[in-house]
Amino acid sequence: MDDLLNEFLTETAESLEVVDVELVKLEQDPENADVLDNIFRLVHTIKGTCGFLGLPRLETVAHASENVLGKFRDKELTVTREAITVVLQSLDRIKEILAELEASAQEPAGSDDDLVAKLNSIADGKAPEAAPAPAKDAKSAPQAGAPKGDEAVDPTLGRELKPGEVSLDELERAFLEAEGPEDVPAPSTALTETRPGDASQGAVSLFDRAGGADSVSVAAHLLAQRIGRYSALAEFFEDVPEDVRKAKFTGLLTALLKEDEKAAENVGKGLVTRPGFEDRNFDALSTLVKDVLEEIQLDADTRDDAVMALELVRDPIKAGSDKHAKPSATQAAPAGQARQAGGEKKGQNQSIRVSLDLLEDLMNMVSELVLTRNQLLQLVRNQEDSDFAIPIQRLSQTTSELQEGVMKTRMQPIGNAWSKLPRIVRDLSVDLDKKIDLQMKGAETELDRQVLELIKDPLTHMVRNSADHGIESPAERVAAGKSETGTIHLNAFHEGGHIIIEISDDGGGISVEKVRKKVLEKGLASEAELEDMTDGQIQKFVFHAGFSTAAQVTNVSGRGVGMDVVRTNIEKIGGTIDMTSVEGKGSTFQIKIPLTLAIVAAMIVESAGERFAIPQISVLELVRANEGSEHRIERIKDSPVLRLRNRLLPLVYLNEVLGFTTRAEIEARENPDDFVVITQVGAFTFGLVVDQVFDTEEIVVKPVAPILKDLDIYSGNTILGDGSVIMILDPNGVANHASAHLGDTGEVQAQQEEAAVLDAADQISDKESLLVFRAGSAGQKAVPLSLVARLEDIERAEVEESDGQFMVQYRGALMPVVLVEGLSKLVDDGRQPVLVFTDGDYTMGLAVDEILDIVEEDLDIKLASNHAGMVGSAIINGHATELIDVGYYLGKAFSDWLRSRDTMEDAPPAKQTRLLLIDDSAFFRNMLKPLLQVAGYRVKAVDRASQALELREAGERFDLIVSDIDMPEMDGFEFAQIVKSGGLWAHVPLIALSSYASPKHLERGRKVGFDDYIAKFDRDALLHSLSQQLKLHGDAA
Amino acid sequence: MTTGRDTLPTTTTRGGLSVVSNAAQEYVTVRLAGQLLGIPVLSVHDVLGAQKLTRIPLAPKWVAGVLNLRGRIVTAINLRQRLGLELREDSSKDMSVVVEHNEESYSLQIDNVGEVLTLNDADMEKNPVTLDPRWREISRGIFRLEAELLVIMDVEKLFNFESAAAA
Repeated sequence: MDDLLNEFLTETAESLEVVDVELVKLEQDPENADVLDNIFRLVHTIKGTCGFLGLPRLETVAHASENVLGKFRDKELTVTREAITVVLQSLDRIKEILAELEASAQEPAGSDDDLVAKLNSIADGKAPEAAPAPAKDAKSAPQAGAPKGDEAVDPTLGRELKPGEVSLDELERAFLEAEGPEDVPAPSTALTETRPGDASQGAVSLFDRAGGADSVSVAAHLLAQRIGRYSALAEFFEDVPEDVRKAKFTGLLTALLKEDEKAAENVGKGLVTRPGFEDRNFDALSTLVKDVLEEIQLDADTRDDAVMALELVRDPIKAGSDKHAKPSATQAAPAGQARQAGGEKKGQNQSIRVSLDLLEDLMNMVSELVLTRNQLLQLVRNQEDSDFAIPIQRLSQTTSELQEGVMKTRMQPIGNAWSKLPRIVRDLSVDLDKKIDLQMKGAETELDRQVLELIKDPLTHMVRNSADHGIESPAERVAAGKSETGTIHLNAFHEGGHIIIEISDDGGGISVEKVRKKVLEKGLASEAELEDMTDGQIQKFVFHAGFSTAAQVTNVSGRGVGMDVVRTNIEKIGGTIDMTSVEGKGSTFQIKIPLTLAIVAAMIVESAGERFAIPQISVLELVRANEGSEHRIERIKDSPVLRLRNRLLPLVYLNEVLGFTTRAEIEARENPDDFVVITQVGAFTFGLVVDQVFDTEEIVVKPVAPILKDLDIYSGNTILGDGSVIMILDPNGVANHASAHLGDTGEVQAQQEEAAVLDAADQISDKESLLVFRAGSAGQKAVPLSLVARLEDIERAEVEESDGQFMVQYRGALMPVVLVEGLSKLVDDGRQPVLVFTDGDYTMGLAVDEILDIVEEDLDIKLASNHAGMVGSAIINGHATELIDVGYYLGKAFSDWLRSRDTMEDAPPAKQTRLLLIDDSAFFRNMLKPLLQVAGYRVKAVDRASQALELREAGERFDLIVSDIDMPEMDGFEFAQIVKSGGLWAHVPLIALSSYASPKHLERGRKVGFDDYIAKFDRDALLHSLSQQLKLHGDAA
Repeated sequence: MTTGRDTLPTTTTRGGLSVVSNAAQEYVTVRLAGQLLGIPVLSVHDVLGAQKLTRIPLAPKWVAGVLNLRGRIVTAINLRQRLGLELREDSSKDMSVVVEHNEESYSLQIDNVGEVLTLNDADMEKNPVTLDPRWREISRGIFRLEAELLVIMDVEKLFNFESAAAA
C-alpha cells in the first residue's frame, strides 16, 4: 500500500502542476474546450484515486472543484476570474494536504468546509437548480434499481458514498454508455454453461473470493496504470485517458468475476477501440491481469479462475478491435498507417521511474571512476610504450561516455522550475490589479537537477520582483504610452557549457533617482562617489545587501530579502548575475550558471608549495608578471595593482590571504616572477597572484567536511589524477578575505575599479603594442602588434616566384609574400623572417630583414606620410620609426582587397575631433585607428554596438561616429536607429562603413539615420566623408 | 594494516581480565606523547601508516589537513593539538586511526598504534577529579593495566569542537 501511496503522491503532484498551468490558460481562453477537458480529467483522476485510497479530505475538496469544472464544461457556468481563483485555492489546499500526507503518510485532520462551501456556492450561485456533482453523472445515467444521485448508498461498496466518490456501478455504467446502449443485466451469480468447472467451487462466487469491489477497484487502477508499460498493449490504450481505462477495467473485471457472461461480452467488445488487437496482444493482457491479481495477493486458485474467465472475452475483444478496422474498405490503409504511427509513438512510453538516490549514487560512482581514470592516464603518460596505453585509452573513452550518459540522466528541462510561474504571475496580477503576460522561451533547455533545485527560488523571486516592482499598473502604462498589458519574458538557452537565463520585463525599469536616494540614505556610497557613477552602476546597487526599492512592503515581494539574496544564491552555485535597466523601458536580468555542479573544469595553481584549484568559470585570463615581461605589478601607496590593457586591477596575493607569508615578505622578494589569475566575482574583477600555474583539470567537486564549513574560502576539495587531495578555492571567499585584509569592501573596490576603467576610457588609450622591425633602409619600422597574426621564419628555398609575385606554401595554402617598400629582394639563402597578416580569408606574408622588438608606446604619430605603404612616423624607443600601412600591402598582395588610392586631399579636421569607431573586426579597428589618428582624429574604437551604447550611457561625447554594418548582436542599422532616436548622440554625424555598398543598402542606411554610407577599404572616401560631415554639422551648429 | 574485530586473541595482561565476559570490550591502543589511549574497536574503521597530508590554510589548528583514503577525502585531526599536548617536531611519520562521526570519516593523527586489548567493563575506573579538564571531557574512564594506565577515549566527545577551539 505504501508503494501505491507513493505513486499516488508523485502522480498527483505532477497532475496538479499541469492543472495549475492549464487553469491559467483557461482563464485567458475560456472557450478552449481542450484545456477544460484536460483539467477536468486530471481533477477527476485525482478525486477518483483519493477515493479508493481512503483520503476523505482530499476527495471532498477535489470533488467540489470538479463539480465547478464540470459546470464550466457543460456550459452551465461561465469561466470567471473569481471562480478560477477559488478553484486554484482548492488546488493549493490539496497540495497542502498532500505535503502532510507525504510527511506523515496520513491525511491530516482538519476541515475544508469553508472552501467547499465557496466552491458549492459558485456552482450553485450561477446555476441554482443544479444539484451537487453526482447529479450530473446521474442524469446521464438513469437506471432502474440502483439509487443514484445525492448521498447514495452504493450497493457494491455497502456503505454511504462520500461526497464526490463515484460508485463502481457508476463507473461501469459510464463506460458501458460510452460504448453503446447495452443493458446491464442484473448482477447474477448463476453459473454459465461455458464454465461448468466452477460448480465444484461451491456457492461462493468468484467475485467474493477475489475480495469484492475493493479488490476490483485496486486491480483496475493498477491495470490502467501498468498497461502503458506493455509494448504489446500500450498502443491500444495510449489515447485512452487513465480514468476511462480504469472504468473499463473495473467493468470488465466485475463482469468477469461475477461470471456475467453477457455483460463481460459487451464490456469486452468495447475494451479496445483500435484495430489490430490479436491473440498475441490478448496473451499480453492476460499476463498483465495475472500479475496484477498476484500483486493484490489473490490466492492462486482464484487467480487462475479469473484468468480463465478472461478467456471468455478473448473473442469479443478481438471482435471489438476489428470493428474499428473496417469502417470502409478505402480507409483500411490510413488506419494501418495510423497504427504504424502509433507504434512509433510507443517510444515515448519506454521510460521507467528511477529513484533519485540511485541516480546520485550512480553519479558518485562515475565521479570516482573519472578520478581513477585520470590517475591511470597520468601513470601511463609517465611510461613510454606501455602495453596499457591502448586499453586505457579505450577505458578513458568509455568513461567519458559513461559520465556523459549519467549526467544526462540528471538533466531536466528548466521548464520544471518554471511550471509554477504562470500561476504565480497570474495570482500577482489579480492581487496587484495589473495586466501581466508571461512569455516563456527555451523551457526545454536542460540542466542538472541539482542546479535546477537551487535556482528555482531565485528565479521565482525575480519573476515576482518583475511583476511587483517592474510592471506598472495599467493606468500608468497607458499614461506612459505603452500597452495596458505588461510582458515578462523568460528565456533560457545554452552557451558554452553554461546556461543563460534571461528575465526581462517592459515595465518601469529601475529608477536611478530612487536608488541614488536609498544609497545615500543607507550610507552605501557618498554623494561624490555617486556623481562619478553611470546610471548602470547606480542601478546595480540593488544587488547590495538589504536593499529594496519597493516604497512599501507588499505581501508579494519586498520581504526584507532582495536581489542581494538572489545574487548570493546564484553565486553559491558558481553562477553570475547581471542586469541592465532603462528607466521607463524595463529591466533585463541575465543569469549565467554552470550546467552541472558535480564535475567542473578548474585551474590548478600553487601557492607556497601547496596546490589549489580555482574553478575555471571565474577565471578570465592569466597574466605573467615579472621584471622582463609586458606586465608588471605596480603599487598605489600599499595596494598592488596590475595594469591590464585599459583596466587597473586590484591584486590579491594568495600567499598572504592563506596566511603563508606577510605582505612585507612578499614585497621584500627579489625579482618576483608571479602569475596573476584574473578572477571575476560578480561585477568585481581582481587579480589573484599565485606562485605557479599548472594545467586545467576536470575535477569532481566534493564537499568539505562539516567541521570546515565555516571556511568560506574553500568551495570543496577534490582528488587529483596523481591521488593527492587539493582544496578548491572559492573566488567569492577569496575576495571577501582579501577585502578584509585591505580593510575595504569588494564593492567599493569594484566601483573604484570601474571608475579607473572609465578614466582610462576618457583618456582614450593611446598605448599601442608595436612590433618593431628593420627592412631595407637603416631606419626602423613598426606595425601595431595586434595586426600581426604570426611571426614566421620561412626557408628561402620554399619561396617560389610566379607572375612577378613571391608565393609560399603556408598551412596548406598558397600565401603571397610581399616585400616591404624599400626592401629590394629576399634573403639570398637561409631563412626569411616574415610577418603574417590575416584578415578573413586573406593571409599574406610581409618579408622583412629582422624583427627587433615589441614595445608598448604612446602611438604619437608625428608626421603623416606621403609614401605609399606608410601611415606616418613616430618616435619609438627614441628612434624615428616608420609605421607601415598593412592595408597597402594587403592591397598589393590581393588586387581585390583594396581599391586604388589617391593622395589625400581633404582638409585635415580641427584638432581634438573625437571619433568613435565601431567595428567587430579587430583587424579593421587596428587598421583604421592609426589611419584616422594620422588624419588628426582622436579615436576610440570598440568592437560592439552595445559597448558604444554603454559609452553613451556613461556620458561620453563624440564628434563623429563611424560604424560597421555587419556586426554580431546588434548590427549597424539597429545601432543607428537607437542612436538617432534620441539621447546624447542624436545629432552626432553617423557614417556607415560596410563591405556591402549596393544601392539597396545605401537606401536602408539613409533611412535608419546614417549620414553617409561608405564602402569599407575606401580610405579616401572615408576621410573625405568625415571632413564633409564635420563641416556640415559644424555649420549647422 | 587494517584491524578486524574477530582476529584478535583475548589478552592476559592482567590476571583478572583473562576471562572474557559479556561486558567486555575491545580497544585499540594508541600512543600519544607517551600516554597510552584506548579507542573502542567498533569505532575504528581503518588504521593507516604515515600518509601524505594536504594542509588546509586558515583551518582551525587542530585540523592537520586532508588525506586520500582509497578515493575518499578524509579530514585529519591533530590529536596532540586537540588534547593540548606538545606538538611533534616531525609530524610526517604520524599514523592515522580513521573513525566516523556523523557519517563523515575523520583521521586521528597519533604517534603510533599498539595492540588490541579486550577489557572488562567492570574494571573501568572513573576519571580522577584532578584530570585536566580537556582530558576529562574526552575520557570515558581509565583502565589500570599492569605497566601503565590506559585512558579510554570517547570519540564522539572528541568532535565537540567548541572546547577544542578554546584549546
